[in-house]
Amino acid sequence: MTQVSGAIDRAAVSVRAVSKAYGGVPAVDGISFELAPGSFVALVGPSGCGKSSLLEIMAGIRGADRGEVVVGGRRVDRPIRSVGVMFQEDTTLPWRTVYRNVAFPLEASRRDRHEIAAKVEAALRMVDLWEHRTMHPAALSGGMRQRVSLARVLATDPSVLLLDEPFGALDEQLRLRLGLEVQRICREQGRTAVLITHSIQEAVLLADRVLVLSGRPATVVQDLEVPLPDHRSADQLGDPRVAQVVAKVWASLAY
Amino acid sequence: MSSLVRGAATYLAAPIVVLVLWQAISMMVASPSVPTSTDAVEGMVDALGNPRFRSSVLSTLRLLGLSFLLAAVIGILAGALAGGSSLARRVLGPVLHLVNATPKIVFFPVFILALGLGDSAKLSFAVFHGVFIAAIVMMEATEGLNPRYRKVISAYRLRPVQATRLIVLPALLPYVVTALRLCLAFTFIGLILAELLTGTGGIGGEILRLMRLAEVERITGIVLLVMVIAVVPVMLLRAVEVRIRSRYAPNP
Amino acid sequence: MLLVAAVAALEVGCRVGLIDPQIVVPPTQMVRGAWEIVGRGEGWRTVILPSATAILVATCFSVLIGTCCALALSRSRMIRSACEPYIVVLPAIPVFALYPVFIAVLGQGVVSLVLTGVLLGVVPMLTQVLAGLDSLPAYLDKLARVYEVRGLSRLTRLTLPGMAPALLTGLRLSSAYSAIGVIAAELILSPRGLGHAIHSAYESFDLTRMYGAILLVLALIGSMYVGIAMVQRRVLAPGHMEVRA
Ligand SMILES: Nc1ncnc2c1ncn2[C@@H]1O[C@H](COP(=O)(O)OP(=O)(O)OP(=O)(O)O)[C@@H](O)[C@H]1O
Ligand SMILES: [Mg+2]
Repeated sequence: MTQVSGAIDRAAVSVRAVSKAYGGVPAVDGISFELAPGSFVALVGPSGCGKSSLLEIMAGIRGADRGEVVVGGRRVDRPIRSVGVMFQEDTTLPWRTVYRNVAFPLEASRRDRHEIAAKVEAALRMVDLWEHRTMHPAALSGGMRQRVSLARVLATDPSVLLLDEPFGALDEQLRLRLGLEVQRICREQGRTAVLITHSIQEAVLLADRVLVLSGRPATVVQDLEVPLPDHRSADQLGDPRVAQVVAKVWASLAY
Repeated sequence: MSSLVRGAATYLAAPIVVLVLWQAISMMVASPSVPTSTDAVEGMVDALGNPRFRSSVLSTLRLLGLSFLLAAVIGILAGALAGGSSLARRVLGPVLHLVNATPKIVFFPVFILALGLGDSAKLSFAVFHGVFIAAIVMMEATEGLNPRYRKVISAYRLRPVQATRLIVLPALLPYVVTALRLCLAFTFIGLILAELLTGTGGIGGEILRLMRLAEVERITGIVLLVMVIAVVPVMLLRAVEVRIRSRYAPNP
Repeated sequence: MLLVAAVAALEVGCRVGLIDPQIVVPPTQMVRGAWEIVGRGEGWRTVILPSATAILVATCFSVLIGTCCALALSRSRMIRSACEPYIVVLPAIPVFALYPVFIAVLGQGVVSLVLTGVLLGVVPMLTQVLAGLDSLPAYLDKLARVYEVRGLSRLTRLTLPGMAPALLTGLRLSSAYSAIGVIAAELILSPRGLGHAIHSAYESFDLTRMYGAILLVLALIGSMYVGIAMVQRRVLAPGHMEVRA
């Protein structure tokens, strides 16, 4: 291994000059950034700028026109197991119980039954839904359903989580609470996370780094560290350091 | 122009493929008892050359016209009235749905018993077969009439006659066409069934006669004709329906 | 409720003489006629079992063929749009008219009966499955891509369970239509079965037997329909809604 690739391997995720156009109109334009292992990074940017496109490229479910994404030293050209994705909309399967929803990706990759049982239980306990495992999604609230989706991602034990406005459809209180929960889980288990959000406050409160994207085509216009301790809570909303970073994000969005 | 050609091509593709497949399969089987599609067309032309058969076709079409008229008028009026009044809806609704869901064909012997083997049994069975679906479509349409229209009617203080002419009828028009289409289809199926079951007169009677004579080509040709008679007007009504619906931008 | 009242009125009407007993017999007599068929081994062998087997076989084929055709159609936008106008008018086709052709070509027998039943039963299955496929939420596609669920696995894990309500509704309609096809064909020409029983009883003016057989047909189709509806309610997850075609 060369020196260079050794350095790159230290990053959990490297996005290198990724571009993507739809019908000749660019949506993502030469984006590059690296994520340190265990970091929690928020992506904010105007609606329709190409955030979801970028995330889907990182997840390997959409191809880039140019550039590449490297996860754990491997170039992403198809979905890889160490990356978990959570979508904005409710993607629980209505005909499966909570338990079987979480087991879905494990069954799909033909894991051993005992392994599936252990992982599903662990994931459901993490999101506090173990008691509800026999219920169907229709009987759950919107927030619980998103927690099922989160458990489904966690059950595959990904080292990188890609979260596309995961709680965007929920009310603000719930969104913040669930966000803090995800942040805590990622922190405790040393998982790397990318969170797309349209709430700047949420981004600052949860992430240790905020990447601000420009309008379409998306480029990185600002890369901000959040100087808060690892343990986050809603109390920090009043913290002057949060207000400072929020103001900076606003300033760069106007730019 | 080219879009017209493309439209025609997509319309004709399916029947052409079916005919070609039929021809290919029957030629592969190459048995005299399995007619090819050209045999069937020849049989149809042949049959139509026969004045006796032509008069059978005419008698079926006459009965179809009459029974369709009766079924459509009765069904649409009854359905619209039933949908318009909540009492009638509660009484008639379940009856209509129940009868609509029963296989009407088993009641045909009752029609013969009551009316004999003649045209009146066939006619009334065809009406019976087609009337319920029209009534149900109209009942549901009237019932589901956008409540906004009620507001419009009361806001402008329209008298019942005005309201019917200006609001209700235009709002129901697309459903009337749907009701007509389904009614025509079901009435014709009922009529053919009745003819097949009595075995006297009409296209159905002709089919039964040829079946006994095992005249495969003729009979296939005639059945092909029946399919054309059944499908073409229904497709035309469907086209009208699509046009009307697209003009009446979908109700949000 | 209304049904009970109607049946009672019919009974009274017949008994009092308002209704000609040469046309309609009282419901109690119909039940007796039905019992005379059901209560005898010979009735089962020559009337009920032939019809029931033909209906069962026709339903199975309808469901299989309808589902496969719909899945195949939905794979190509071009083929789908070429078939669309014809799929809409399929229910308008008087399939019964084909039965004489089948007899002329294939002879009188179970094959012709089943074929008629299948041609009728396949239509609702096809339309239901197409509607079910159309109503599948778009996120299933995303899930399939993320977790690389493809081919048969995708069919059995996502597509088919996703449209389970449509499949069951299709089965329910399909069995009813197959039954109508088989019975109608038997009425036209057949040496056995419920349809034949109605036909022969009518020809010999045995009204008790005729109405008995009619009652049996209605009971058979009705119980299949209600039975499948109950299964549907039982096996479908709450909130896994039925789509309307
Ligand atoms: N499959 C596609 N084909 C064509 N254009 C697309 C496609 N997917 C996305 N786009 C376009 O690319 C741009 C970026 O889309 P994307 O979904 O990535 O935006 P986004 O930043 O996630 O927006 P939002 O914040 O609203 O979710 C949009 O203008 C969208 O119209
Ligand atoms: Mg998005």
